[in-house]
Amino acid sequence: MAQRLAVRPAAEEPVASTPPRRGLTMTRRQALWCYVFIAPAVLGLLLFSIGPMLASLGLSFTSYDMLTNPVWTGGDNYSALFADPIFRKSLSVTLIYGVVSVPVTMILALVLAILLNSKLPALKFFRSAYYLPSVISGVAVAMVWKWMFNGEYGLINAALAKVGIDGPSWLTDEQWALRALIFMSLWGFGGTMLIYLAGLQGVPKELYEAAKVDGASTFRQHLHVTVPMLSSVTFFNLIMGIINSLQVFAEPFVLTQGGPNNSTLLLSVYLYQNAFQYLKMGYASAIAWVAFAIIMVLTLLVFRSMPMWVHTETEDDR
Amino acid sequence: MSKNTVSRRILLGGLTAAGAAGLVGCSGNGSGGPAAAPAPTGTELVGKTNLEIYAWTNGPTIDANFRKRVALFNKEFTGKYTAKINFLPYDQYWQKVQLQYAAKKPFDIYYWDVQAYAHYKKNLVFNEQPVIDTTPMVDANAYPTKLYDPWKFDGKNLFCVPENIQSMAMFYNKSHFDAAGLDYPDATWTWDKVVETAPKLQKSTGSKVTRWGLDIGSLGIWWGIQSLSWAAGSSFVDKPLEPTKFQMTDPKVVESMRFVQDMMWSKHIAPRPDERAGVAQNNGGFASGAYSMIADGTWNISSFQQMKDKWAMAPLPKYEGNSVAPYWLGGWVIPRQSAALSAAQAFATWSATKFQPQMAKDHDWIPLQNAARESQDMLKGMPEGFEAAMKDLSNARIGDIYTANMQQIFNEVYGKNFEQLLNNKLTPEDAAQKMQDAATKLLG
Repeated sequence: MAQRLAVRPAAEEPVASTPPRRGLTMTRRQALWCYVFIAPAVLGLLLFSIGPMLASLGLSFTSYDMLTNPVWTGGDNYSALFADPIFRKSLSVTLIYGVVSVPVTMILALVLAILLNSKLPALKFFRSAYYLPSVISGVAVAMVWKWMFNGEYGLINAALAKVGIDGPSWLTDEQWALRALIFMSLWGFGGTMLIYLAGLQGVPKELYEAAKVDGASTFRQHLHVTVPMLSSVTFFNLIMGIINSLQVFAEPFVLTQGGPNNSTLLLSVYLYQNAFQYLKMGYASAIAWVAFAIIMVLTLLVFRSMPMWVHTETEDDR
Repeated sequence: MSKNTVSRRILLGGLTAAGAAGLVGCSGNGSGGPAAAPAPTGTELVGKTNLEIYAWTNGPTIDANFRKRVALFNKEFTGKYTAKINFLPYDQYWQKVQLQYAAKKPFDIYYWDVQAYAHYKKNLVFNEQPVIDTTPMVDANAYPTKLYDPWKFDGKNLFCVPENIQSMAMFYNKSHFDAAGLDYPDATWTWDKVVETAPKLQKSTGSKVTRWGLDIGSLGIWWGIQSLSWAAGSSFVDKPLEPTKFQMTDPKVVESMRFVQDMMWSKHIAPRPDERAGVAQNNGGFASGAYSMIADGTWNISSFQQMKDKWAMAPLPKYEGNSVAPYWLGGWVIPRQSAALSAAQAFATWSATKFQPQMAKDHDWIPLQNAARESQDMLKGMPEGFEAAMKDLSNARIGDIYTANMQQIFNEVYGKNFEQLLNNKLTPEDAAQKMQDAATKLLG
């Protein structure tokens, strides 16, 4: 880093000895090329992300059915939203889904990452096998799980029957449908696991050796070395988990369409229904912005809590 | 910073403004837009001659027949029009239709379903009555013109061009009845007789039912249950076109719900929702011989034709002494902004007139034209009982409800509560009350 800082920008090089050049100076040329290179990304961001976001923000203050021009309704969509029992139900379903699935996925991913970081036979096979579900399309995964969850002929209930348990009607029983979705979401822990696995490569071996010398058991070594050393990875996974859990769509849409009795009506599914089935684009946009606000608040809270639990490496630590 | 240097703030600001302007331009939501085409007369050529037709996919047999139909149209109108048909999955179809309208570039012509009522309400489709008036479609001796009435949204004119008709009937597996030595269902059958017969057709291995005597089929959908309440002398709404009130708590409606629920739960002569899902996933239901009887839509006829077993159909059994089947019209919607207006009208009216005998031969849709529907070409290869079921059409009632929020009512109110009812999570009384309250709220 120190060496890199020593390289001074070209603009600060002495220029007196070089004859003045016509046209752009080096600084301007560099700036121009910089803008040229970033232009596609910036344009893409503006046209396909920021632009639609601003448009949806505008639409959230209108009544818009796609067939006729939007009509300005002020904050009506937002006030209707908070008085809408289905939205409240959807919000609670989404929060339950996130609160359960995010930590459980992370714990599972961490445990497996630790296991896959040890010297096991066929390690590459297991690493690939556990990561594989993450690269399969959500719709394909949901179709497979739909069959597995079938109360009559599904694999899960067939397995439970072998041990004398009469399995529930997973996807049609209000009590079980959300649990089934959460259970299925755990299957996609591969991405989180991979990030943990990468993080584990960076944990100095000496720390484990020191803990071992101090008499720490394997569990305590992981508790006092692995967990704090991976706290920044956990921080990243937590943020991504929160965002993903509030945006999950394909699985509930394919498996339950939000039913039975709205028990799996995650916000994204409710948003879709309003936008594309009831043609209430303004209302759907308001849902999207409330979801965005929730994500922002939760992310902010996690960021604020960072100093309390995230271990950041300083020069003194080296 | 030098004056000549474009600041990042200015650059980003400019790009944002350009992006936003582009977005506004793309959204096509301006109040202007192209003027609506003049009301068609059927004689002058309006719009382009190459026609893009949109329909949702109905499986390989029906899709192939649609393509064949378009080829025949192109042959018939060689040198005048060229049509091409595009298929989309049903769940994407209506989104696409809406998006095309939003972009002010609607499809030239598209296939009707109840969602298109919203397009009429928003004044996006033409009054097609002047065109229809130039065809034999208005001849009451040649067409069942009375059945058009629910599609006359303004009480006088047709805003879509009807071309086919569908209804509901009882389908039964003749092989199962023969093996059990039972008489086939016919127009005299009542639902009580069905309830009595179904267990005699049921087969089990241990505690597991391997063949059900009955599947409720379309009785599991709101319009199926409504057909029972019609038979009992009531209805879900006071009128199907722009209803002013729901009548879900009417005792006759509640009883019809209880009847269906009981067949699945207290009597258990028909599979429960989870058992139905299992059958559907495992082997596909009636067509695979998993059910001996099913109350279902006539649009299934072409897929049932692939069955190995012998099968036939009968009019819907009587409930409370009556049988009232629902019917649906199939047809074409032509947007006011159709880019190929004359070609679209030609295709729609040709489909409803000259093409009808071929539709009868194809056995996919049921022709609207009486002569085609009752022709030997139609009856040949159709199951026994088809003719009797078609005769019941004179007594049939429209299986749709037309009002602005109907999709939300179907989904949030009917869908959710009927699901609960069929899963025995709600009593018929509670389901009726919930639906009455929620649907009335959405009606307002």
